[in-house]
Amino acid sequence: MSTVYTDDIGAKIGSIFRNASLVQARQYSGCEALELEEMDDNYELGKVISRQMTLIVISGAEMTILFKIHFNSSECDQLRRLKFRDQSTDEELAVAKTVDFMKEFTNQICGRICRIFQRNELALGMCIPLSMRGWYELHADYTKRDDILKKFGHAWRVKGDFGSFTCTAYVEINKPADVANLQYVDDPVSNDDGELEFL
Amino acid sequence: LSQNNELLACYKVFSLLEAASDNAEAMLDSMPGAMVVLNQDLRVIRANNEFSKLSGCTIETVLGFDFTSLFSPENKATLLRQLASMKSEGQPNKPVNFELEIVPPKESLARQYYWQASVVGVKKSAEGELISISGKDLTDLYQSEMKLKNIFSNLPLGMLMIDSEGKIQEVLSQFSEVLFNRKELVGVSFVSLFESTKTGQDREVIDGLKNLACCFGMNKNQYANVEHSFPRVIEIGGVATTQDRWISINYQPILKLGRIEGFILLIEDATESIHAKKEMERVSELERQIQTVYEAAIRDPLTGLYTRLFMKDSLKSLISNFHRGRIEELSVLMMDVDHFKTVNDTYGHKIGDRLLSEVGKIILKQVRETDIAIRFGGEEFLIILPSNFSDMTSGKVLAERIRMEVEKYELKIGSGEHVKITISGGVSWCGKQENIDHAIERADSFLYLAKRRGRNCIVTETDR
Repeated sequence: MSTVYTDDIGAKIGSIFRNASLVQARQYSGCEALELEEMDDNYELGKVISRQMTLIVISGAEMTILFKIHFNSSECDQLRRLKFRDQSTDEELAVAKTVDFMKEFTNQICGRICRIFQRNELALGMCIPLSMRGWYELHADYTKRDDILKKFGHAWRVKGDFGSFTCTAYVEINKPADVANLQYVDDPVSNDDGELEFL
Repeated sequence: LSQNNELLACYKVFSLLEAASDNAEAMLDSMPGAMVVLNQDLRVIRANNEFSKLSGCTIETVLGFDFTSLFSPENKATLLRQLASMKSEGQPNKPVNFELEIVPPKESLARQYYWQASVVGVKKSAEGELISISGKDLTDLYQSEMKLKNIFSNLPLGMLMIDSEGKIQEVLSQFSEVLFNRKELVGVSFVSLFESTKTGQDREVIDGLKNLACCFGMNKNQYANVEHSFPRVIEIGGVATTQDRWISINYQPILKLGRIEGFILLIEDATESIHAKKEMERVSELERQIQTVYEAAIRDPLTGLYTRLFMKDSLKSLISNFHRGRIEELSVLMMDVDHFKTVNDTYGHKIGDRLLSEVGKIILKQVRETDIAIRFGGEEFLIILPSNFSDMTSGKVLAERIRMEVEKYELKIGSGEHVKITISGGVSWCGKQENIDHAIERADSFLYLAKRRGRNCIVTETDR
């Protein structure tokens, strides 16, 4: 199951995440030929999908989101090379560069999500991105907590000529009423890639 | 600014954690041997480089690889049984070790692996119960072992491993079965192989073999004291023949932590070498006997001088060397004890023999190794002197010395009575073209002249 809860809030948030990831992916890589794809029915959160993984936690009083991108460096390296016109052949360095590339990409998607929530008057903060091996997904804790009112997960793929990467998001909502009327209001068009200066 | 500083601090901590994680993962990737973590469907969720290569995948595409696809249907069943045994009752999550062959997708030949599997303790994972498996490639080891086994099997050498009870634990070469004419040797008491032979064995041999079992647990020094009691060569019954056979045994103790925990016995069929040794001993005995007979034939037992039989053999090579110029001069001495018949008649043959024996000793004392001294007749002696100088004096000098020594000698015959004798001699020189027999004849004629001149003197060619 790609979606644990499919009620209105869950569906709305899932839609926001999917759109944000696709728009940001196109904008970041400069590749327009990207599209969304849903996961297979037998998928469930916590399964190991890829060799690499980046993650960010977005949190606020109303909700907490654990956002991850699962990817193989051999595929996403093509996106990176497309963006930076990199033709170097050092494979080991390419893996490190791709991991950094995907960390920044995760950062940008989560920044976009935060701004969308901000326009809905939900102030959320996010941590800096962290990379790790994909099989660390085994240690993700998706156990139910009684003090959380709503929780659900989403998983989707962004695919293109390069291959694909998978995004997963696990959402815990503490104040369902505050997020009931969420609207997808995207950023105005800008040339800025949105990279953080301190990184 | 404060918020930025906090973010920077977090960034640094995360960077450290990422680097540590990367290093740990890189170590796992390059770990020797194959390593995988499997989910509940036995599909790969983590593999190192060696396993990825083995599966024909990359380190990325190996994810989700069906681990069981490496095994033949039969071996797959064994694998599943082994993995299921980890969950056996009473011993939950017990690690298992097993050897099982795989056929890698991109290789035509099977590879033998030693696997170690254990359950990974990650709770409530979406992947279900995880199993960590590491494998060590034993293919090269197996091939080496096979090679060695082939070599051992074809060696004409028996190789047995003996356990602490003195029983045959392992037969390392097929030749062992040929040696003992038995098919099933494993589990058989080594000593019993000899007790049952039709020839029977000495008590010492059996006791020596029984000592083998007493050596277990001994250190090297203790073993050194017992080692000598082991029989090295043992006679065993013939194989399907009446001919007796011998084996030689080399005892090789196997030490563990300085203590003997087993023996390897190297057994050789020594029949041929024993036969050869016996044959050599027989030949040497024959040679010794022939030498004794020959010595008896060429040595006069009374005087110790050569006999006339030896004269023929020795003169042949002497004359040959003389003619080839290797010898410059050949002197011929003919000597005879004066009035020996009277001595014999007066004192008896016993005294006569004693006197002849003493003359022989005197002659032997005076001649060189290269000279040939012969008892030519009853009391007549012939001495041939080869020399590298042609001074025509050495013959006379030697003859005079012998004459004077004989003259000085007194034989005590009891009650203060002494017997004295003298000796006369003739000396000739053999010419290069001359026959030695003529030189002997001339020496004899000079001896006759010496007798006529009153005896106890020497006459040479220059004295006539």
